[in-house]
Amino acid sequence: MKRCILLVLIFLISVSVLNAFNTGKSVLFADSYMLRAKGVEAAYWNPANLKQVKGIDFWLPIMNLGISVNNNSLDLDTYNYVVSQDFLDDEDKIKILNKIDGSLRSAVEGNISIIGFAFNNISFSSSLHLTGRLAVSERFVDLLLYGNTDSLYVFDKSTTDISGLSYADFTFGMGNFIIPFIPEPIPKIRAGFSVSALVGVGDANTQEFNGYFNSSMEGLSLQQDISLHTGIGGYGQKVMLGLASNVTPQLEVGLTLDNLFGKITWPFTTEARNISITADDVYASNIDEEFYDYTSETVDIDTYSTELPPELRLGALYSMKRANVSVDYLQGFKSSINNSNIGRISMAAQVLPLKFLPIGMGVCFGNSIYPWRVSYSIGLHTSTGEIGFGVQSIKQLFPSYKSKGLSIGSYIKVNI
Amino acid sequence: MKKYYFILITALVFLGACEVKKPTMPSWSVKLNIPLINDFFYVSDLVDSVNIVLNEDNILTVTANGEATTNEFGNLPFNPNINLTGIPLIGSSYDFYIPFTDPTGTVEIAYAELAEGVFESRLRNVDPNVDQISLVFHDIYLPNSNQNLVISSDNFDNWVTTNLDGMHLGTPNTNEIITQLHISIQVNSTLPAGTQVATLDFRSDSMISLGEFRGGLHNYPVNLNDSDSSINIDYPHGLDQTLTLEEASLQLTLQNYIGFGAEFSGQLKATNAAGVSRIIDILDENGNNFQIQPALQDGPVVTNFNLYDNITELLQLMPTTIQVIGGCFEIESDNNIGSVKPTDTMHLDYLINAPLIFTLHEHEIVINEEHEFSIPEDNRERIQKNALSASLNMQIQNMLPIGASAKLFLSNTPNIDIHNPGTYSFLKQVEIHSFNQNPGFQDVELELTKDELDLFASEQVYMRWSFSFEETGSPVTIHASSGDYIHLKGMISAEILIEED
Repeated sequence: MKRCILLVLIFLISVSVLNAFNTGKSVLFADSYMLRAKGVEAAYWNPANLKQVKGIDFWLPIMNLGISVNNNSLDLDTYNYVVSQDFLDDEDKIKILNKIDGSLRSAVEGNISIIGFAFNNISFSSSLHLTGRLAVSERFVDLLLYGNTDSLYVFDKSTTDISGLSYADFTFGMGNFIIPFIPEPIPKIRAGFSVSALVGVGDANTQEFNGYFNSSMEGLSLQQDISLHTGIGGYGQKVMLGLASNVTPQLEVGLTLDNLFGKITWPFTTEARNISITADDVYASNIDEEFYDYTSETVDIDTYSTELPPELRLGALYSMKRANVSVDYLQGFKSSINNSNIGRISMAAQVLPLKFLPIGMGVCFGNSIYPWRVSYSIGLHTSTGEIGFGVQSIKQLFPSYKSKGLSIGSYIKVNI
Repeated sequence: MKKYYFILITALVFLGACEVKKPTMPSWSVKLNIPLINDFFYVSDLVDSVNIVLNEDNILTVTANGEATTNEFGNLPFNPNINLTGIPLIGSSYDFYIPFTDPTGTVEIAYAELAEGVFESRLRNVDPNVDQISLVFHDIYLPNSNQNLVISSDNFDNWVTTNLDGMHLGTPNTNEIITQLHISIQVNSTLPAGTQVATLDFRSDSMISLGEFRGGLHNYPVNLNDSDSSINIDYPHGLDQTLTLEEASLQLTLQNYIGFGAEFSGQLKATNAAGVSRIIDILDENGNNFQIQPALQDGPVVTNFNLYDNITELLQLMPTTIQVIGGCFEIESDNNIGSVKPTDTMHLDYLINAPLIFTLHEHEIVINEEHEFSIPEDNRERIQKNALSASLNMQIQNMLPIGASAKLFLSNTPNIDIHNPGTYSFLKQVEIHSFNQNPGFQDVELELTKDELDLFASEQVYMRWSFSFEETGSPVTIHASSGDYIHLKGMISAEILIEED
């Protein structure tokens, strides 16, 4: 029994490190994937396109995954440079700090399929998601590299933060409903929906992070207040509505509204860890064991919810015989760990030099908090299944030493 | 499954073609600024409320007070030195007078309790017809009575001693000085009046002790007890070695419980730490002894005197001991009538004040308090191993009108003796300008060598300050308000090497 629990935990932890895209395959197209998702995936991207022509579209467990590790500042080149140095001089320090714009933000995002199948215009699926974010103020890095050369260092949640969210979805989707009473010559519009039951694995979010460090002739003072809320075990839901239409035989457009009624409630183990450190007017000559006040307490807190704010996505896909191109625009209505209220555009293209060999490329232009990225992918498609993988370079055209992060995605589906 | 991952990873590596170097931590240096001290050294901290006080103008003042008291006045000795012989006694009733004065002229009695004393009398050549002869002393009264002393005797030809203890001479509150004793003779005989009935010999040549006394006293000395009058002065921080005072005063407060005026004479003897003594006469501004008024009936008379001139000379010695020597109240009633009881005293309080208006000498004042701070073990190791260089940055504000040189002594052992280099590891010296030269903060940077820095790798570090004030040459006044201080702020700036353990 213990072994089973351990395996489940390892599994959850491992999948926790892999998650946060809607599906793993979208990595291959830099998120321009709304109208490309078919079969099971359509329930996560646009359920209007849930239309299995024949057989059952089956998602192999774990094989469909996406992982992204990225940050906004440092790249492999910088890393290699730093670790290859014996001593960092001022020039090196400047080089490092110049790469950080206010805050060193890193994120781990992941998604992994558990199981999924689609037939006719219906799908059932389940996948796991994880998002982890860490932000460290540039002032911390400055302190680390130079010491306390300035008299005052202020830290707050805008530049220093940590949060994480992991949950599993169980999604039911139906689509390919033709909206009636659409007058000619307006093309037919398909509609669909998906409903997801969410099972929260864990949540951690920084509620408060305020502090300062002051060191001058007037003494050393510091204050740091941290409040971290955690929840383990939760439940929730979300709904996605989708529309799609083939404007012309080659051009398809679509719209989705995701995360309707989206939230995860954490009713079980919820705690607040409150840490406070205070010291005032400390001098080396008057220092004693009580020169600072440190309090740390963990208290049970009431049930709370993690909101999943609604997102609007618009997309277009133009298909030709051996190629297609797409463009997506995503606009969140509120910021959260999973979304941003700043819109972003992504584009992708896929060519089939051979009928069974799709080669793709995507680019997401990003925004102020979501770094731009470029994807490259290759796959193998047959009448009985699909396999493929892709890689995404963050803030660099090709995966290289200069990339600020890397995402990988893979997919395996079979048609039974 | 494994094959799938192999293909995936191989493809990623191929696509990425990136080399990820083995993570090894480089070293780098950081500058740490650690506030070290923020101390105010107030002039008012010199106030010990004993020998260093503040006067009403907030001027730091050296003060010392002492007191001396005479012994109780006691019984007044009086010897009329009477020795009369052959006084003819005429019967049957006869009055005559015997002189009764102090041959030295010191004591004039108007009234006195006779605490101790005797008269001696002898009747000779008594006529055989005489049975008894009585002598009535009209000025002498029996104890607790208004009856006169009567000496009756039938013991002829022998000396008769009459004990006077408890009797009193004269009547209370009288202002009449008794210069002779009025004596009446009463003879019990059959002889006719006007006949000489006997011859009287009378002696009062031994000391008579007078208790409560009223009358006149002339040039009668009452001495102070010198042994009570000595006072010690403790100067904080060796202040006595540092300065020469420019002015001082002596306030004498005399409380006279004796109903006679007096003239006080005496000397002040001051001795400093080096054993050098100086003596001055206690005289008024005209060079005369101080005159003291007699006590009143309802209590003592308090008389205050202030001395200035000679006292400065005395205090410039920066004495550690001051004593009144040869103190004496010489009673002189002139033509007035005074009174005194045996229990009466005279009391002297004296207060020496020397506001710190002084000329400063170069001398080191050592701050008694020794700072101690602990260096955590981790930091000790880091300092030893990783500290590259350091400096001590200081900001100093001197609100005093005198410049100084401040020395900071550091050691890893307690009880730093600034005069013994073996008790400290090193010292740092900074020059502090006077307030007049620089009223703001003065920035000072002191570089620390690696050896000096290694001191902070000790478990405990001790720190002591000393100040040497500049020779002023001319008098300066030191106030001790809340605005008179030296403010020292210090910060250690150290360059530390960060490296992997």
